[in-house]
Amino acid sequence: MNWKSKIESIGIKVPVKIIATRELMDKLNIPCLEKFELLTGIRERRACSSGEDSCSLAVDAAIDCLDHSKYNPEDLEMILSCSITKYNGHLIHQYEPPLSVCIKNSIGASGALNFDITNACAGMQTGIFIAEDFIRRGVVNNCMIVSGEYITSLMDHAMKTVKTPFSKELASLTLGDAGAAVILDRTTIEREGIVVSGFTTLSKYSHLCIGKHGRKYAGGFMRTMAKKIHKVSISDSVPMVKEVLKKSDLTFDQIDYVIPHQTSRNSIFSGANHFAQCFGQRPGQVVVNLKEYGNTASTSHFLAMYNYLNEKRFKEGDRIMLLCFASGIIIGVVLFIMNEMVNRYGNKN
Amino acid sequence: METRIEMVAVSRPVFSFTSTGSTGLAVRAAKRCLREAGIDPGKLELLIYTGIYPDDYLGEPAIAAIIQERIGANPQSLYDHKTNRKMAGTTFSFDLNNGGCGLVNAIQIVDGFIRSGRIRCGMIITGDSEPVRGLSDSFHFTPAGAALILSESFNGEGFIHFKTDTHPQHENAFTSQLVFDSKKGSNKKHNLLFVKQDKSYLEWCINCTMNSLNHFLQEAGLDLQDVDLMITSQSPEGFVLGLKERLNLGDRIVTLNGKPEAELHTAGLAFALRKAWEDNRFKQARNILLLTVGSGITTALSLYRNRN
Repeated sequence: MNWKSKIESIGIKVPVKIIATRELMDKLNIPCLEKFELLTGIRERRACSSGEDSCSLAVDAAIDCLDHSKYNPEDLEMILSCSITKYNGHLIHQYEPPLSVCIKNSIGASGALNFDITNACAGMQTGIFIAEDFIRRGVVNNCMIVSGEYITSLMDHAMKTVKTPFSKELASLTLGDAGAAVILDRTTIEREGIVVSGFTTLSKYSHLCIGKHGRKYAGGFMRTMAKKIHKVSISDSVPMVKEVLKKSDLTFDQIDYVIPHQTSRNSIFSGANHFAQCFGQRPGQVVVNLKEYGNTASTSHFLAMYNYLNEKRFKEGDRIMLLCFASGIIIGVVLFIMNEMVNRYGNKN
Repeated sequence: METRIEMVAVSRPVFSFTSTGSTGLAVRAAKRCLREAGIDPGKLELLIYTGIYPDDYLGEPAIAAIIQERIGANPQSLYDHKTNRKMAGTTFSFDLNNGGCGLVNAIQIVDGFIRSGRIRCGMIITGDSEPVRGLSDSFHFTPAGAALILSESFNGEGFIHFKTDTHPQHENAFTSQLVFDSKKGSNKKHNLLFVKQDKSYLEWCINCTMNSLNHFLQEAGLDLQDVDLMITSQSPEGFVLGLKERLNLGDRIVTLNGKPEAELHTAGLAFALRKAWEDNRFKQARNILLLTVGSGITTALSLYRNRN
């Protein structure tokens, strides 16, 4: 029997510490970057303090997710940790055991099948893609997909190296730290859940964004050819979105919310305009959630969803499209119909 | 529909005195695997890389994406913008990390996508090598690469059962971490890869494996005597011989000779599989048990059934 799956709950964790874009630009003092905040739409981002790291963000997000869920930790049958950074102990990067082991033991889900997925900013969507298949085939009834991204160390490095607006590390100044977790579970209701998902890797462009740990300092750096990535991602995602719409028998204007990867306001708007030209239609709304958090890598879609849920913007039955662009270059689309989860968010002050 | 192993290939550095990174070793094994299977790389729809230690501490993109490009598995755009035509095939790539058990977890994923009809052919690749030569403490794994091609099967041959367990009481029995080494007064400050293995790790690995194996056989409705061939992880050193002795398996467990093979990490299972493939034991056996163990402590097992 083939089962459908739905997003049952979402949780997030953002650090308390705030770093304002203005503060960064004042330190850099590069004339052309004065309008960085206006162009990116990022006023501030959150950053880890002492005692916080990828693992702690992921664990706290997982706990928040469980708080909004009908499941207890011991009910979880599968846990996938999908972050790029795997810091466990501030800037100590852990290769073994995988972070998913630490996360599941920390939240008390030690019976769950676990492994880590690494796929740049597409990590959590890749996790959803895998979990959906496990649920569809009845291997598991539910799966938590979780990520903690401590990426502001890349920003710290960029602050030392960016001297001109053409620096390959400029994109690192958009980054912020966050954790996110999602529980996917089985549904029998026709009008909810994941309708279709599809991914591809255009590996010819894998060199366009490279992130590494430094050899001689704690933390890492990221070098990006942002304009080229944007061009390739936008032009190549159009045929994929067309295919997804065809499979689901929908038109682009029947999508209520498109949530793209949160990079910068300018990129999102120019992408949205390109889509509007290609389709001759616009979706209900293109979600931008950059102002207070910046680009939080693999967690960005779910941070945006969480905030929209808490602001009561979504309603049951809304068609939501997650558009995923990540280094690789990975292009992915997840189309799903919002469920009664909307009733479990936004009621607290 | 089942998922069968189409081919397995492995690689080791040609010259021991030159540094061959894990990605290079994985690419070499992948190309060899494609060549020996007679499969065009464009047929691969899913690529999963299960190595743990990326060259030069790469964090993104996924190593699988780099390998996808280097073996020529549909690296191009989806769409030919000049002719407005869709290109023939697409490949999706990502990395999976689960210590010495990642390979079996990746097989389970590929098997699932094949059973769901989403793909027809996938490849799992892995590579082990010190990320930066000389900048580690106690990194003892043998440099190696391996690749497996899996494809759909309609004759009953293929994987039939999977099981992964972790044993949380041993979470820290094996750890590897990249730590910034900033000793006061030292001019040489580096990120160092520290590998720590508890002195009881081997014994715990064998005990955990025995426990998981019993449950696995019960779930699969088998007795140990029904297992014709057992193919296992190679590390920690002494694991294969320890298991052989404990289970009294005789020749039914594949053993590799030599010190370097005893320290094969994520590629260890594939090396044993390749040996069984070459000496025809794989084809002759009916029930084949793939068994991996690694940090966590995690065990991942899978049963493969030949048609004979």
